[in-house]
Amino acid sequence: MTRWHPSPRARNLATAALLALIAAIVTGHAAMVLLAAPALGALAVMPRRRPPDPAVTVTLSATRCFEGEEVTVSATVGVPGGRPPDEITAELVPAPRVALVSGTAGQTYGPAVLRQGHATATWVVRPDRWGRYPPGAVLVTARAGLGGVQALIRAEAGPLEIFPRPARMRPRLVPAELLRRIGEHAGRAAGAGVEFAGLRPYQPGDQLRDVNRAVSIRRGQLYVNQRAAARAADLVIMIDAFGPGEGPVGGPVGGRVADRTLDLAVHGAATLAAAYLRVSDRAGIVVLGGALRWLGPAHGDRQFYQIAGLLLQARYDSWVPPDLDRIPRTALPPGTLVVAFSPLLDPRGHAALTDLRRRGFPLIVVDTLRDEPPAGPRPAGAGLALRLWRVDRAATRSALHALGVPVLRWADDAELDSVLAPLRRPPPGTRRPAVPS
Amino acid sequence: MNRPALVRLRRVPALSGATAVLGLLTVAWPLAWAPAWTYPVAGLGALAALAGLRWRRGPALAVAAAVVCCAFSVAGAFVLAAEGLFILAYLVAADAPAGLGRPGPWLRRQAPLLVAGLIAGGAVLAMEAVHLAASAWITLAGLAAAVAAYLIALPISRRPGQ
Repeated sequence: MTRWHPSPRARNLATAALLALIAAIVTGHAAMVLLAAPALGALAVMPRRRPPDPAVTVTLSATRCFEGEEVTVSATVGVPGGRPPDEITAELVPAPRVALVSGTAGQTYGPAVLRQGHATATWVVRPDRWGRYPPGAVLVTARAGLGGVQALIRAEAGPLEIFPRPARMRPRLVPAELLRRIGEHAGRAAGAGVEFAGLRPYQPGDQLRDVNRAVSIRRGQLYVNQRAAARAADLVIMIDAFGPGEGPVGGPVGGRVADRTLDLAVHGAATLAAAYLRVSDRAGIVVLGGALRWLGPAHGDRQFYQIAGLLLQARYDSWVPPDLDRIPRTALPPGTLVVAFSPLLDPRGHAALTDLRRRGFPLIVVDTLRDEPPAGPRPAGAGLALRLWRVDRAATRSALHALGVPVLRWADDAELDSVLAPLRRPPPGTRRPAVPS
Repeated sequence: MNRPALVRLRRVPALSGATAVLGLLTVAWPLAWAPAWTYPVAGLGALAALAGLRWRRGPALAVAAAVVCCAFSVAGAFVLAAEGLFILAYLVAADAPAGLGRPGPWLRRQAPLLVAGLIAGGAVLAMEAVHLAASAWITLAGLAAAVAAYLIALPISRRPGQ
């Protein structure tokens, strides 16, 4: 039920009249009533009848979008039959990290529009932060009785799913053993791909276009080019969502740092998933932290949106340690390349990574921590604690290195493609990237 | 429903300028007849009038300063009657809603208020003219009008089914 109450205009007029009358009594200056008279006259002509309550409906042009995409918010104010309000003002209050692209924040409609039974205000907004939240609230102010009474109605649209925008990258990092499925990566076996794999003497049945003329002339017999088979790969992205807010670092800084590391991890996961799914590979995801959630490897655009939907749930907190035994074999097939985004702060996340490596999965860890605690002004004597913390992190990295897990640091302003670049250099004598198998 | 703190009085620039000018006029008008010690009060009122473009309590404070200046001035009845109309016009203009595309239709809808204020001011001025200024009845009538105004402005009770 809408509550109508005196508007600021009525209150201001009444206050002015009262002040003038008090001044008349206090000073004995009867002519001061002349100050109050116009305000009182205006108050007297304001009608007391309350108009019918307006109904507000807020709709969005889309229920899901990517970061930086524009969404139209429409607020329809329905005015039931009878005398409509004098005017209705609809104001959009955007949520944090949502920018108003077009449309004035406050839009006012007079009786000429309201007599049609409804008025619609539209705004175009651009959410810049992934998550599932309403892009803003619409605040409708209805005024009636010559502006003497007003009603405030707050309405919100349903939540908008804003997916992290994946950056562009090429899926050049593949496990040593590829699937027996046609894809776009050059496999070890010879096949019908396009990448040169070697030479062998001509055999009956070979196609003439495969004959390597230069080698055949030099050796005096026919040689044909061999090509590597084009295979698909499986990739499982793992996100360590145990933030420093929950872990050993703690404190008020923890939440902000956790938010940043999770933000980086989610964007990295979206980038990897989009890159691999684009080339007919299969991608899956496991989210550590909170309730353990996973999605088995699959391919196609639908899988990308399912991964993105799962990423939106990565912000729930929990004290439950992750148990990788709960993940079914289909969600984490043996030999799958696992890329884990982790700030390497929480022992539960670290234990899960170690467990994964010991099970024989080729694993890459991308360190998403860019801050050093405490981020604020440091108390005296904190230098020693900071050095100890650095030593502890170095020990964590060394332990992972000892297990054969490369740990890559995601520095500021670096693209994920360049972060993973060191692993793409094939070691001497091999054609395969240096991902441990 | 929570009263959001985000409600701001935002106006179109043309109307904002006119509102500020009206506010300054309201504060400055009685200064010619006011004692010198009221000038700082008027200065504060002028600041409140300028701040009223963004601050919702600014207009009320500017009007309060103007009333104080008038109360201790030697202004005549016509000057005070004009000041009363300035106050009314300023408070109405300061309440213009956000996002007004064209202020013309909105201003026309406010005309009844200004006409009512003009009639009320004229009536009191007429009473002044018939030498009833020394009577306490005028003050009493003003108080009764104030009570009536507050009764009008009080929240309207709603019965189920209405």
